[in-house]
Amino acid sequence: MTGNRPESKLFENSIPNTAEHNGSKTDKSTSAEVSQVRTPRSATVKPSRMSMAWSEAGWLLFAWLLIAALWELGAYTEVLNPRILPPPSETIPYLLQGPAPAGIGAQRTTFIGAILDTLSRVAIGYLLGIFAAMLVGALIVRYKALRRVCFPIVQTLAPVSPVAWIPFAIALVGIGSPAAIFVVFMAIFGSMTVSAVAAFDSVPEEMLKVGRSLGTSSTHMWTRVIIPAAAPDLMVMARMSFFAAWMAVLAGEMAGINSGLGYLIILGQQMYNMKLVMVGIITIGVLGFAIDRLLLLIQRRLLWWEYRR
Amino acid sequence: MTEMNGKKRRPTQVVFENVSKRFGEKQATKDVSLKVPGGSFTVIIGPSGCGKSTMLGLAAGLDEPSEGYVFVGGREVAGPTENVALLFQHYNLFPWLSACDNVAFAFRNRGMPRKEARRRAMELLANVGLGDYADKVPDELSGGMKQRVALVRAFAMQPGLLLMDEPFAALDHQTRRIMQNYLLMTWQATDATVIMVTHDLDEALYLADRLVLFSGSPGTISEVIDIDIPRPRKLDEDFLASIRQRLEAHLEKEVAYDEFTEAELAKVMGFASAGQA
Repeated sequence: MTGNRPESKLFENSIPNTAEHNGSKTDKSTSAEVSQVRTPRSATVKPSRMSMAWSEAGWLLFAWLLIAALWELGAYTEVLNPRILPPPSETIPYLLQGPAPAGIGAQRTTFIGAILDTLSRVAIGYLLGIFAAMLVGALIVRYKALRRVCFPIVQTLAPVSPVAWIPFAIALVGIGSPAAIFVVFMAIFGSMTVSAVAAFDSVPEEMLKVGRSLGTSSTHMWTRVIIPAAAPDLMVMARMSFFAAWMAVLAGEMAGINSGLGYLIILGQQMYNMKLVMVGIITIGVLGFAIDRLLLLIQRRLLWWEYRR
Repeated sequence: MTEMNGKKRRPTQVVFENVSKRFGEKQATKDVSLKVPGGSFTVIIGPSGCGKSTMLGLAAGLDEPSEGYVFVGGREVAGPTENVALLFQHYNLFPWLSACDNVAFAFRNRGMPRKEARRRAMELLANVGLGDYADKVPDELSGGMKQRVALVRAFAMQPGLLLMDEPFAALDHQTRRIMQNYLLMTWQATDATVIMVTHDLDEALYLADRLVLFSGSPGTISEVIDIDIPRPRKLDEDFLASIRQRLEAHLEKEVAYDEFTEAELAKVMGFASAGQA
């Protein structure tokens, strides 16, 4: 423990902004004293993570401002064709005012409506897929017969592209949200089941033995030992699966399920409204990024013990 | 089973009767018979892969013997029970639980309310000087601290039998010494029977009432040595030193079997004897 002290001081000095982010007005010498009184770890980890998040956000903003500036310059000098790649100065205001309703008849859609459609589909399909995969994975690990019979089936289904399910989905439940949810589900179920099985299988044998010798019942073995032990692996796979789900819902919306953000892009193409296409792409990127960050936040909460070091 | 009210219970005796164990093709132990007196400290020592750990698995009820019988406390072993605790080299604390919740885990499995379980766990941790670390998760603790928590957790249910598989092998020399004394202190305050597997000769001589020497593959018992010397022991005592020499010779002979070719071995031995000359 004492070995950490010089290190923690060094750390604080190397990030002079730490105190500001914490909102405390202590000067450097007293904050070093404080870190010696408290346990060194909790004193240093929190502010450093905060300031890291800030600097990460700063760099993200900078990178995109740089691209936007180059783009604008390209359009201004007509190196880039503004009819095909509308510059940020046209796209951003168009985005902020909210693009006008597009499409005709039953397929008429608004920007917000498209976002809500896509988000609700991906949320339902994703949660169902994760839940079903964990359940089937657990059953496969628990019962040898299922491992022999069901696991090969799941393994063959896993590599099938989610878009390939679209004709089937539309024929089965028609055009609309249920088909999109089905496509999202199929996009993640196979791969997530395979990784759930791997995660449950890799719980150390000794940990299971200790659990049993501490009087854990077979139900509690799952809830109190196996699932928490596999949680870090499961969480990583769940985050990866989100990207697959996000791409699947958009591909589905483009390839026949005629509503949502994916369809908005197709409409933009059909009307040769490149600003609409651009707005669709930006929205997809920003939402996907935001949701991944949300999942990261959930990961930090769920796996709190991994972030205490 | 476990008497919590301080009533005297009979120490747990362990008996292996002509036990053989095969894992698929591999024969781990062959026709092993061993009596471990209740309340004693028995150490099993021998080369890698001679079925030492298999014996622990059988006594814990985690594996079934292919042939023969294993009795713990007069009853044939039928599965893991709370009367038998396990301790491994890799601590096996649950990383998602604080030190306190790790110790409280067994209490909770018994249906004890969370608050009560945590209070008792806190008491036990304070006994080994870890009161201030109760809310730390295992990753925040040093190796010695982790093993102390694991030791407290293993003793929490007042088991009649404690099975240890090289529990201190991952610790540095000094910490290992301290932990061995912790173990002796904790053990002497209970009536538990201990069976420990180790590679470390000094550890075996320092701790054991009875040394069981395993050899070969499949594993068989080649010698049982009773060490009737009061604790704490000094390892340079003549009797212990003489046993040590004998064991060392035995182990050297055993290791030669599978891991090295004869040519390699001759080369290494030649180098060693040149150094001594």
